[in-house]
Amino acid sequence: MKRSLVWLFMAALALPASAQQINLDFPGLSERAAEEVTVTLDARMLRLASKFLSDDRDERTVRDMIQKLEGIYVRSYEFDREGEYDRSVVDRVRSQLGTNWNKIVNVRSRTRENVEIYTQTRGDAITGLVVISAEPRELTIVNIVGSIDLDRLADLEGQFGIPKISKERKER
Amino acid sequence: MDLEEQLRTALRPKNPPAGFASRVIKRTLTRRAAPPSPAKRERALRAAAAAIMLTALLGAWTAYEIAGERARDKVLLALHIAGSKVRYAQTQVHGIGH
Repeated sequence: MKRSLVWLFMAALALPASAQQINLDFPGLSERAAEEVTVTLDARMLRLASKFLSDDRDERTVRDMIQKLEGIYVRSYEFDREGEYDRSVVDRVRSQLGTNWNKIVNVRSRTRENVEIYTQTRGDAITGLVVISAEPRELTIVNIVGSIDLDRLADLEGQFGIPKISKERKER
Repeated sequence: MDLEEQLRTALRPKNPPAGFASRVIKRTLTRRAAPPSPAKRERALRAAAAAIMLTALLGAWTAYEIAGERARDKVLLALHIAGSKVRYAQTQVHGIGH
């Protein structure tokens, strides 16, 4: 009885973390894309990665950041022509975000990318993040599970020696 | 006897005496090196086991290092993409504010 209660308690603890992860499986999209970036890092992989980050200031910042994360999932597709992806993909992502998710930024541009940022919060802390960036020829969806500081995340961009974005160019 | 005759006599094929082959085999078998002592055998086994274990450990470590480096690169790439999108959105929002 006692053991079952402990398991129940542990399952309840695990539930909020798993609930923040959204399904980023888009059948057929990968085949149509000219370039693709797929990153799937669960908590175990993040812990492993943190051991391989160096001690310089920038990578230390990354290490601190990922210590509080349970997962990072990125899907980025680039297409040869406009309108090659079905916009309903974006709706499918949105539909997975429950009432505990808030859209905090919505950037609409006729010439550049449209970006939507959704966060899930607990108290004052952000415990989940979804970024949808849609352009006529590019679609990027990012899902970060865990406590994340948006300002620190924005500061990371271009700050350190990030490996050159190695988008997978597909042979046609 | 001339030289040619002497050579012919000397080089004439001659059958070995009876039991020659079996005597040779018997002697070869008796002269074979004695089996290693149990202690020597155990040492050899231990050395082989250590070598196998070391190879396996090195392989596992290499795989771990490769996986770790890959995970690190993926983290940096993912945060770079996420950061660039968030930064772009922030810039746009700030742009409207000013």
